[in-house]
Amino acid sequence: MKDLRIEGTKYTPEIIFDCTNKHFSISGNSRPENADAFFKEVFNWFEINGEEVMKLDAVGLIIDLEYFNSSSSKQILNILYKLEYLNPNNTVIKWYYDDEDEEILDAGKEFEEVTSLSFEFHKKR
Amino acid sequence: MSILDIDIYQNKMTILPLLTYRNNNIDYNTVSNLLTQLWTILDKYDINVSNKKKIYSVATECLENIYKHSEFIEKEDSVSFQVNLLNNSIEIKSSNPININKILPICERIEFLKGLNNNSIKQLYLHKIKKRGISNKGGAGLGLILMVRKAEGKIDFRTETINKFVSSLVLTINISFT
Repeated sequence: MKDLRIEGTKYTPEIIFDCTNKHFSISGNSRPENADAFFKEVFNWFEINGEEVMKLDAVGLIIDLEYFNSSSSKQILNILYKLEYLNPNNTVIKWYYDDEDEEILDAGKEFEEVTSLSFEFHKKR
Repeated sequence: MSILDIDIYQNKMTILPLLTYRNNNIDYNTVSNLLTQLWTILDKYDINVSNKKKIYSVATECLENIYKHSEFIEKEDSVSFQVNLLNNSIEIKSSNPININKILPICERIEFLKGLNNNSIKQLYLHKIKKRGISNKGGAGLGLILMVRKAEGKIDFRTETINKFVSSLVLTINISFT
């Protein structure tokens, strides 16, 4: 299985999907010029590695985003839906937010509302 | 922003322009530069992180809408984007040319969204991110909902005819930070 590693930029998130080390994370900022095109690589990775993801006994997806725009929110939700489909019982979303940042916390709570996945909320400071 | 500008604001000046862009088009680098400048400017004021994110979020969606959906026309300053500091709020004003066949549905949409209460608009937003596909320009069609939501309905619009094919959509959005 090939790991997915997309380097972060000022406007696009770092994405790591590493099944070997069971490290899954999306972090940084997400405001790509074309969210559909940017996240395509992630969904291609799921197409190839979906069966492996199904077999994992634990998937802890860290989401540590400073900011994401509306078209990224749709894509992030689609990633959650993929995990909900492939491995619903063993997936935990670890949602990180700054102490004072209610916007990011609320966004995480809303994702929790619209999926059946388990969420953990972690205050950063 | 000079110390003098801040002094003027503290002495109850009603409107202080923080950021202004005028041209006949906008590219993505300019969008990014404007957003970077805006964040730096907001850091100079006593606005908490959540409110800063709200302002940044509305500005992002506004600029992305302009970038993705404007008609290009040969008219000076047909695209404009301005951020003003008012007493206890930020005003974002934008203007961009839109095909006349598209502008009426957008105006009707804004009127509809303004009429929704906080919970209804939240439910609509969640419904849209669950169901709606991505447009061929890469937007999820959520930007307008998000702008109205973050501004808690304080968004006004008007249209100005440019020619028989194109009108300007002028938006004024107010985001309170108290």
